[in-house]
Amino acid sequence: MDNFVIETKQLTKVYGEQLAVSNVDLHLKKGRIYGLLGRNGAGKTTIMKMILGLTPITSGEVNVFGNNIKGREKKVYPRIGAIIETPGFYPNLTGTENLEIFAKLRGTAAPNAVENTLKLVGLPYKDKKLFGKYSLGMKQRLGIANAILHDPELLILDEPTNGLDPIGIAEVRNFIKDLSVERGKTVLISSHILSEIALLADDIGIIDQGVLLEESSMSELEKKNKKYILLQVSDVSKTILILERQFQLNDYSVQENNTLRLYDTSLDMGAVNRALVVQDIEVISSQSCNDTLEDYFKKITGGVGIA
Amino acid sequence: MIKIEFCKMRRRPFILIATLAALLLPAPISVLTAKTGQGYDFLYKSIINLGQLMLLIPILCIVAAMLFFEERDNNTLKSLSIIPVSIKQLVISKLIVLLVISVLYSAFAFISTVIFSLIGHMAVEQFVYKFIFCIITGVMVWAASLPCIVLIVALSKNYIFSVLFSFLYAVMGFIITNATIRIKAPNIFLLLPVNVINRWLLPFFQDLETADYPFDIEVSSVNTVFCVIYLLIYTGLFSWIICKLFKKWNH
Repeated sequence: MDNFVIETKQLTKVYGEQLAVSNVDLHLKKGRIYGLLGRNGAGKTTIMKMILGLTPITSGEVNVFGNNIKGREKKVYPRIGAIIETPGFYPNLTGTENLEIFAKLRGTAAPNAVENTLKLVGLPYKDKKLFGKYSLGMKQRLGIANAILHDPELLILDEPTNGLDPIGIAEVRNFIKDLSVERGKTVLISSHILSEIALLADDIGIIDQGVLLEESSMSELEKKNKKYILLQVSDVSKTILILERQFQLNDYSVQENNTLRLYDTSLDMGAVNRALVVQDIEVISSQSCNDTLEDYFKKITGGVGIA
Repeated sequence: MIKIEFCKMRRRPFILIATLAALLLPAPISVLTAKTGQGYDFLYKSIINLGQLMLLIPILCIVAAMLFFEERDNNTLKSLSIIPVSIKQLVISKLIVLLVISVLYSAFAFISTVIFSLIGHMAVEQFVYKFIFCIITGVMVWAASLPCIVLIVALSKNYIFSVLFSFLYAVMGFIITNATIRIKAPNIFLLLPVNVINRWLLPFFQDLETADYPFDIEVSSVNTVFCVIYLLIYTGLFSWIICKLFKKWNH
């Protein structure tokens, strides 16, 4: 049996008459990065809040470190670091002063924890700038610093790269990856940015309208993605006729710019090219491709893509 | 946690303003006292009436609004809710901070009163007794502020509302007390804690007066035991309500 750090069973949340999260079974393994991917309003934050006990569960169960979280929240919190939505701090205090307050309240941080953590996220120690004057990126970094200040085993990060510039995003991504790979931390991260999850996560959960549509490892997902040949020609109609009559190919789709997707990858492309040239059809390009994660996302959500 | 609550108020000019109010309020009153030929006792009584019952209540309510609203408005409450500190601990530490501010304000006001009395060549008597009495009144005023703090937290409005509401609470307390002081205690008006404190103060103030009050103090006043039990019940009840409200905000 897998040793799950977080396991939810039929997790459901209803706000008034609105079903925000529906029967979510989520499984987060130790030492892995789990990416919760979904559009804005899909229910990612609500799931995270329920895992942390910040919002009451309508029905279902949340197990954290093997135990039901209900009623045990305060016992579990020293083992968890989290950012939920925008990081909240005292605007009249500096970043260092804010972290010192949280370190004292937790009572578990190491002697130089504040200084080391600020260095780790690239913020100055004992700086005079007040939190109220911080940029969104700096606020986000301080939020991450607060989440890791007490060296927790589990990190729950709700859209942690919000507001960061591209370099900042890459830095935070590498930093989270290092925390998992080098320090063995388990990470649950949510995002609506597909590329971010694709680059970071070991496991992925795709959520749409409160329903967890897919949960699998990235490697499994890559295997599932359909392979195809992308063929760009001068005349699509004639090409289809040739493919259907001469090669008995029916599994294809027509794309924009005179392009066809041929899903039979065992097709002899040399023979196809020769047949097309004979019929005066110009082959502009021909390449072997894989469905992207975005294609997969579109397919399973049955809608438009994601950022 | 109390130390942490004080740390959270760094760079807040209002704390300095409150300290200055405590230190400087005796100045104009001492001038008035000297002009009317009154002594130190009149100045001391005026500081308790104006400085503590009228000014300290709004100060405590404004600081309470700062302590409670800021964490909600800046999303800090969310960050605090995922650390192993209970809402009850947070609320109690904030209430203790308010109590400490109340005691410090009373001490500053008393010391300032003594200094201005000495400057005005007034004879300062019963120094220790009056200091302790001033501190006890400060503690009682803190307890009397709790219903107002509950309403500010419950109505969950902005700072301007808190300022206006707390001044209204203090002024109404003063008006109701004066209008109903002749009615025998206990009565319905004693639901207002400021009224109870005022009635408890009557015998002590009578000792400081040269002339008698134009009503029967025996009938109007409340004794120390009644006052302490009453304020303890109020403190317990309203602290519990604040905890509940803060918990509700948290969710």
